[in-house]
Amino acid sequence: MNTISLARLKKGQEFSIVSVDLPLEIARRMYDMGLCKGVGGRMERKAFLHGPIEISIGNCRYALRWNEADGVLVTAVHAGSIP
Amino acid sequence: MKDIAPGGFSRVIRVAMAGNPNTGKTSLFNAITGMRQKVANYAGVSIAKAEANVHHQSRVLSIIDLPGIYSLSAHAADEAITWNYILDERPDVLVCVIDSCNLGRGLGLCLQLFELGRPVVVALNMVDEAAKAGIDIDTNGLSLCLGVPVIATVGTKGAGKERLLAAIIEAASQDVMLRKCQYSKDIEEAIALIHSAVDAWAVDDLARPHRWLSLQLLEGNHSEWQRMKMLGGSAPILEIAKKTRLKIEALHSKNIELALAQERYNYIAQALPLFEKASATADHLEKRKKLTADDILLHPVFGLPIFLLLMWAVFKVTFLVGALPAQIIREGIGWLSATAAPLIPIDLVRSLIIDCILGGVGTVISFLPLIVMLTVCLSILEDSGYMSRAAFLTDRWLSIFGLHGRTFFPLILGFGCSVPAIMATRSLQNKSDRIIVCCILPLLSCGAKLPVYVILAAAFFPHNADTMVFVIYLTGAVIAFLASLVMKSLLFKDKPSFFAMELPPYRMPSAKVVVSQAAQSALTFVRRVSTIILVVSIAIWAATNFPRPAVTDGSRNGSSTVTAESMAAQHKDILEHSFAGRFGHFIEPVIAPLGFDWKIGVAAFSGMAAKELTVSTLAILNGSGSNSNTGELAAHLKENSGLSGAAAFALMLFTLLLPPCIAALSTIRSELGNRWLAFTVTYLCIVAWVISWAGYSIGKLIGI
Repeated sequence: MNTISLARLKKGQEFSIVSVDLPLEIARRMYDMGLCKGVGGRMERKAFLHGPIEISIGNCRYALRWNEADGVLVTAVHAGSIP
Repeated sequence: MKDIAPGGFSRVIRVAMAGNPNTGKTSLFNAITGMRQKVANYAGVSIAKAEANVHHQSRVLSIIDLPGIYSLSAHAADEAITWNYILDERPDVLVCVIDSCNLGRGLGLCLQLFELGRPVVVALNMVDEAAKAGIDIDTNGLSLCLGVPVIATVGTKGAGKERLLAAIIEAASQDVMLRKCQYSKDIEEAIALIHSAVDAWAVDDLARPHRWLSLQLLEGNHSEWQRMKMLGGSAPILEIAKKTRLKIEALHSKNIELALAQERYNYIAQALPLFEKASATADHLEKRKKLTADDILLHPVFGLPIFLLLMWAVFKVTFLVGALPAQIIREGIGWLSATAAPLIPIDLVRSLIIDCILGGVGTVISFLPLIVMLTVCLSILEDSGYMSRAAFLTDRWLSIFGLHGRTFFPLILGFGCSVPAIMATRSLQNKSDRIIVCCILPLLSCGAKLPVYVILAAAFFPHNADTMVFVIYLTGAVIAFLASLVMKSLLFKDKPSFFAMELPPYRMPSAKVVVSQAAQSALTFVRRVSTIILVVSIAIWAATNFPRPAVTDGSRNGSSTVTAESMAAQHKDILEHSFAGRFGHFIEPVIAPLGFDWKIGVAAFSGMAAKELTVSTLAILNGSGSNSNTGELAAHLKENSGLSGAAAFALMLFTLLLPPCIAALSTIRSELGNRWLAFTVTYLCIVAWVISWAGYSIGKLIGI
C-alpha cells in the first residue's frame, strides 16, 4: 500500500502510522504521546490553508500543526469519508 | 539489589503520584488528602509538587502530587520536577495514575516506572468515563499481568480511594518483585552488557537502579550521562554505552530512543486486547456521524469568531454580574465613612481611618465581586475542556508572533494573576518560549489592574467606561504580541517551535471545582488587601502626612475656627512638605510629559507594591481630608485630581504597562533569574513611558 503524509489525508479517512520523519526531539515527543509506528487513527478535522489538524486515536484526540503532520507517514486504511 | 529495597518500614510512607498529563492525578490527590489543589481539564495544570499527609490504617502516608509526564525524557521544566523527585527523593511507593480511556499510553509510562524498582500501584482513574465510552477493563487480569495492584478509581468523586490507600500500604511493606519491559534480544543484550559494567563499578553513591541506569545510558539520557561524568571513574562505562548504542542504532537503522519507545508500544499493543474490551458498538459509530460540539467550536471559519465572542462574553459577564455586589459594598463603605467621620475627634486619626483605610483599602475591597466573577468564568472554561480548543484555534495566529498554541494557557491565566501564569510557563518545552512568555505576561491586564481602570474609566469616560476598559485590555494584548515578535526575531532566532497537543474530552464543569476556585481567589484577594495593601496604604498615608510643616503644627494646636479654604490650603501644604510630596516632585520632570502631576506619579509608582494600591493611593492623595463623606472615589477624582481625560487615559496605559507588582517580579526572578528580571523591568519602563506618552498625545489631539 502506498504511504502518504498524514497532512494529506481527507477528513474522515482512517490511517495507520508507518513512520515519523521529524527531528528527533519532536519525534520522541510524538512517540511519547502515543503516535508511533503501527498506531491506527482517524483524520477528524482540517483547517484551511495548512492550519492545524485534528486526529483521533482510540478515545484520544490530538491537535497537530500541519508541518508536524506532514512528517508523519501513514497508509490510508479506509477511504470512506463520513460527512 | 540493595539500592532498590523498599523503605516501607519507616513510619511515614512517601507516595508519589505520577502519570500522563490530564489523567486526574490532582483530582485523586484532592480526594485522598482533602486538599484543594487547582484542577482543570487540560494538560499541564499542575506545575509544582504538592504534598499532604493522610492517616490510614494507623499509618501516616505522605502523598505527593507531581506534574504530568509523557515519558522519562524530560522536555519541559514541569516534567523535570517530576523526574527529579522520583529519582532523587526515591519515594516509597509510586502510584501510576492512568486515564482508563487511554490505557495503552498510560501503561507505556507504567513500564518505565517499573524499571525504577520501586513498588508501584496502578490507579485506573476515570473508570466511569471509560464505561460510558464502552471500554471494559479487566482490572484483575491487568493486575495479574503487570504483577502490581490495579485499583479502579474516580478522582472527582473519590471512588476507590480507600482501596487505593490500602493497596499502597500493602505495597510499601512488601519486597519489590523486579518487573521490567522485555525488549528484543539484541537490545536486552546491549542492556546486559552495560549492566554488568555498572555492576562491576558500583560506587556507593550511585543511588540509581542498575538496570534502569544501563537503559538510560544506552538511550543517551543527557542528565544521567552528565551525572555519571560527575561521579568519576565512569569513563569506561560511558565508553561501553556509547559503543553499544552506535552498534544498536546501526542494526535497527533507527534512533535508539525511538526504537525503545516503539518496542514498549509493541509490547503493550500485544497485551492490551487481553484485558481491554472496547465495544465500539453501532451506537458508538452512530454518534460519530452526529454533529459534535467540536464541529461548531472548531469550525474552520466560525471557530475563531466564536472564541473571540466567548472571551468578550467572559469580560461582559464579569462586569454585569459583578457590578451590583460591588456597588453594594461601595455604598456600604460610603455610609460607614459618613457615619464614622464625625465621631472621630482627632484630625490625624480621622484622616487615617476615613481617607486611608475606608477610602483607599475599602475601595479596593469593593472589587472583590469582579475578581471572583472573573475567576468563575475562567474556571468554567478551563474545566470544560474548551481551553485546549482555544489553543488549537489560536495556534496559527499566535505563531505569527513567534508564539504557539501551547503558550495560550499561561497567557490566558495572565488575565487573572501574573504569578500563577508565570509559573505555568514551566509546561512549555522550549526555553526560549518560556522566556518570551514570562517577559510579556506583565503586559496583560491582571485582575489587580482592573480596579484602576474601572475607577478611572468611570470617572473620566462615564458614557463608555466598558469600552475604554476593553480598549486597555486589547492594547495590553497587542503590545504583548508585538513584544513577543520583537524578542523572537532579535533574541531567539532558533528553530520554530513545535505544537502537538491532546484535546481532552469535553466535561461538564464541576460546580465543586468552580466554587472552590472562586473561594480560593476571594481568599487570596482578601488576604492581599488585608496584608500588603493595608500596610502599604498606611505607609503611603504616613508618607503623605509626615514630616509636617511647622506652621501646620501650630494651627492644629491653636484656633479651632478654620474655614474650608484654609483647610484645603493646609492639606495641600502638608502634602507638599511630606515625603511623598518630595518624592513626587522629584519624579515630576519624568512624568510631566504624560500629563501627570506629582500626585499621579506617586499613585502610579505605589502600584509597584500591588497594582490595586494605585486606587487607594489616589484616594489618599485626593481625599479632601475630614470633609470626605462619600466612598465614591470616581466622582471625587474627576473634581479634585486635576487630571484631563487624555491624562486619565495615559494613566490607565501607564498602570497597564509599568513593571508588575513585587510578587510577579520575584516570580520572574525565581523562574528565569536576575538577568531576565532586569531585562523585563527595563523594557517595561521604557514601553510604559513611550506608550503612555503616545496615548496622552493622541488623547489630547482627539480631545477626550
